[in-house]
Amino acid sequence: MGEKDKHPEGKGPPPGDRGTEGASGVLGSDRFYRAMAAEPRRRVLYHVLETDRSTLEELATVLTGWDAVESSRVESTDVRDQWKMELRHVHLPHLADVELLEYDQETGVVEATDLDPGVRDLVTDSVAASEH
Amino acid sequence: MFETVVETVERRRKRFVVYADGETDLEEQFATRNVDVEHRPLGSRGPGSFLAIFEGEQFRGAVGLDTLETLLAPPVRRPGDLDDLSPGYRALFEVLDGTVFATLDRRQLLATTREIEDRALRVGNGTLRVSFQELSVFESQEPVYRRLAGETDLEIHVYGRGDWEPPAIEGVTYHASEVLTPSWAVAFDGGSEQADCALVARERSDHYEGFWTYDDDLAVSVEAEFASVP
Repeated sequence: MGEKDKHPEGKGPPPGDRGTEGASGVLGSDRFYRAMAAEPRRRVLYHVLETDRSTLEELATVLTGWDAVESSRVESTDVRDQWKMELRHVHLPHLADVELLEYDQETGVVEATDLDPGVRDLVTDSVAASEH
Repeated sequence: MFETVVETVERRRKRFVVYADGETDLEEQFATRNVDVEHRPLGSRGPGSFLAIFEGEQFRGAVGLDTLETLLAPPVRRPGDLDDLSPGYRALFEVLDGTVFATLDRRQLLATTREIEDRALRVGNGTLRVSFQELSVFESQEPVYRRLAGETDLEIHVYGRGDWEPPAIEGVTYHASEVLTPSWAVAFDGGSEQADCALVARERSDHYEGFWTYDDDLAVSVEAEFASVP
């Protein structure tokens, strides 16, 4: 079991310890898999890992754009507004809470954290699984 | 003709943000006059590349780059074929409203014209004005206009250089005029319905430059220019 399980109330190990946490730390935790158990969160995490830094606004655009690719239609403001709301209230707080990314609620800035390559690969593979 | 309305549209800048992994040739495929194009990175895995369209900061829509390409090769329909365009194609028109394209071809103009004719048919009344540049072009469109005139209360005006004597069709008025020859244009004024729309394209050496719009004020301006032609 990893470090995170020793801190059930808090947000996991203090920042200084993150670098020493091996892949087994995150990959062995239920909290990680719960975070990953939603396609929007996998996609958001993938995009943030690929670009290092994004925003709530841009992530809403990206999720909408990927919907448009899959539906082969134009996806409009309604869809994007819905994604903004879900990102703000559900997905970004969830991912930030398990330290898979950093989310500043005031500025809307989302940044990648230093994830183990094993975790990064899992995220990438999970998104690639929905490629067409 | 139409310079003022074209200038008005060109001043309304749009922003196209292309999300793709690597280069795209979007700017070549869709040369435009009033669009600032940005490129943003996208991971190579995932559903695929897309275009996000903004007017200022206002998001207007997103479309996959593959889907966008259908705008380059619009569905070809036989004259007289006025059944509804696919909703997907119409949605593309709507999201690209007011974009000034620099390199339209005749097939794209015809597809856009059809979209406006479809709308006029569905509304069933008001005024439809169309300039095919030369009246002889109307010859291939005759079945469409017989149907429009026969099945609706539309008042139809057809403009063009008088290089051909078109047949009399009740409900259709012809205006043989040189004034509009450089322009392929269509304007539909649906009266009380919020259905006004227009297409304005000016011929350049081997292509057309133009835009379409569902904006009432712009459509009314186009309609007024038509109406000023004797």
